Amino acid sequence: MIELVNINKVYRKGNKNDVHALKDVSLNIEEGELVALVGVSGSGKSTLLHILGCLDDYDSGEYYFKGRNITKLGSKQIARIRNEEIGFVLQSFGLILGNTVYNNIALPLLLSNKTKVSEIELKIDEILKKLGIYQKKKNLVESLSGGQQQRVAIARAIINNPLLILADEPTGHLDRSTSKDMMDIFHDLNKNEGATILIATHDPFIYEQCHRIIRIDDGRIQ
Amino acid sequence: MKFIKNMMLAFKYGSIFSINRIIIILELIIVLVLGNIAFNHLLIDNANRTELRALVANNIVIYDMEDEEQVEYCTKNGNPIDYNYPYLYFYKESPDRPLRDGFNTRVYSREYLNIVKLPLKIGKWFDDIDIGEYDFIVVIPYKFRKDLKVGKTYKLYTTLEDENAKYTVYVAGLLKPYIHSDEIICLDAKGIIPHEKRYEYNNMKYARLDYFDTNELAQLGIVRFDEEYKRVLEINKSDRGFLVILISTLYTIFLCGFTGDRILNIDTYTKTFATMFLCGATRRKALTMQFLQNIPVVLTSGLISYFLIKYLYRVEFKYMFFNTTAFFGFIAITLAIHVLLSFLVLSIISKQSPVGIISGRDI
Ligand SMILES: Nc1ncnc2c1ncn2[C@@H]1O[C@H](COP(=O)(O)OP(=O)(O)O)[C@@H](O)[C@H]1O
Ligand SMILES: [Mg+2]
Repeated sequence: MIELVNINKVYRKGNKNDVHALKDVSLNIEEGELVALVGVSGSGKSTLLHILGCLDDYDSGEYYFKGRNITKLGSKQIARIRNEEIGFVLQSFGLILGNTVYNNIALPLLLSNKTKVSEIELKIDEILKKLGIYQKKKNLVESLSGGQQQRVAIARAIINNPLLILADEPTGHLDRSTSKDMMDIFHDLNKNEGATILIATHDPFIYEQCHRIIRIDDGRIQ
Repeated sequence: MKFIKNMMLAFKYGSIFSINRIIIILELIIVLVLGNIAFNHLLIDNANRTELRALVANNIVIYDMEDEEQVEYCTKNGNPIDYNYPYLYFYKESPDRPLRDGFNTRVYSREYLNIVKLPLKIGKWFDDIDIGEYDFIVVIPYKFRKDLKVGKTYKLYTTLEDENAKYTVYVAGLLKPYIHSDEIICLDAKGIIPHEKRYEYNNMKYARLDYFDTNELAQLGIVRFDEEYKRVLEINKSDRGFLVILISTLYTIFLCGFTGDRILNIDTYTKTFATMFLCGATRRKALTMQFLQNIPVVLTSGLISYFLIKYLYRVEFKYMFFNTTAFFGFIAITLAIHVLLSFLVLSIISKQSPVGIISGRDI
């Protein structure tokens, strides 16, 4: 489903202190896989995920997402892929503060125009129940615990039923038992919904549960 | 449609927390109200109301018909006033219709009408009209605008002696809506009204209050009976400079607060921008959203301050008049500042990459 060919990414290009964050990265991920991307801090995990998530561009190489060459698409088409086909979960949750759980989860739906207004609430209720935070629906996100906030972030990531879920150290700010709950959710999504999931982490507890481990070191896939 | 939808979406997810938003709305209201008052003060000296200045030049006293004491005073001082002015009704149909079907009309002398020129919405004042074959020339109050049309000539019955006679009545102009007159203002062009009734209407010293916006009178320094107005006129002369300085200072302080708020909140703006990008908005749309979310804020505060200002002018600042042009001109200036500010904020956000914001690098 995903194919990267010789991707290179250089931060601060042309500067003296430029960073070659990804070096000739090539990789394949099939549909339905649960993959861990493992590496020490600064090895380029986030950079790779941002590129896979169509959030950032790259300096050379090709990226095929379901056979489509992302390099050749316009910003509107790419935004659409981000909206409908990819769900992104961040370490820092990335929720809009001052808004309710409901509003935060509704955002991708409202941006996409695809779902009917009458169906939005049903859809959100369903996901909230599944993730066990239904009773927090009307609460402001900042009033939730870390684990609950991460659930909201996951709910937002999967609300449009994406093919690919990218999680960048999703348990980095969570304790062990909450991390376990989080992994259970990912397992469930992978098994029952057939979602392809890529989790960046350096936590053995997490990557040991994944089907495949991709190691990255200093911008190179091992 | 799409624009409104985007705007509401942006507003819903606006990076300003709801409490902050209320503060901004309040600040904007204060800015608009104070600024407008200051602005108006500065404009007063330039008020170009020549027709009312003529009243000042002629030392005309404005009196209130409702106030018996004032009416009595005017009459006692040897000046028969318009209390006794010829008064008649015009009828479109037949003269024996009940009074309420007629047009309440008061007749004035040509000299008087040459001085007391009232602001018109459309049409011309009496001195611009060639009498021609018209028996009466009239300027109608706003409330009659549907019954009689400016520029047209009507054949009307009257309450004059011969009830079956029709007179040619030319409608020369329509008073501005804020002149709350119940009566048509009429010039007896051919001298049709009997001489014994006409002696009264050459009075040039008194004019009825109803015809003027009280605020306009005061700022133009027209003499009024009320004690209150004497005081107000004093304020106009001595304290105006002080008021302008005071209000302008407050305005500046609040404008700075308002600006500061924007700059301080830039962090939340950028985060919302990045989150919208992450959730599938294009970079351009996510940026536009940060701008659009301000529009409902501006509209709400604009609307509230409009009514507040109108109220203040009616109740607190009777000596000033509400100048619609000044108000909207002022709103435009404040909005321009607001828009500039928003663009400044936007340019700051647009220099950052959403990824940088998401990974906490650029903040
Ligand atoms: N926006 C950026 N500007 C400059 N350097 C960056 C930026 N983002 C990441 N880097 C550098 O790229 C390398 C890889 O970073 P990152 O992908 O965040 O690693 P990880 O997520 O594995 O910790 C690091 O050396 C980091 O300092
Ligand atoms: Mg990282």
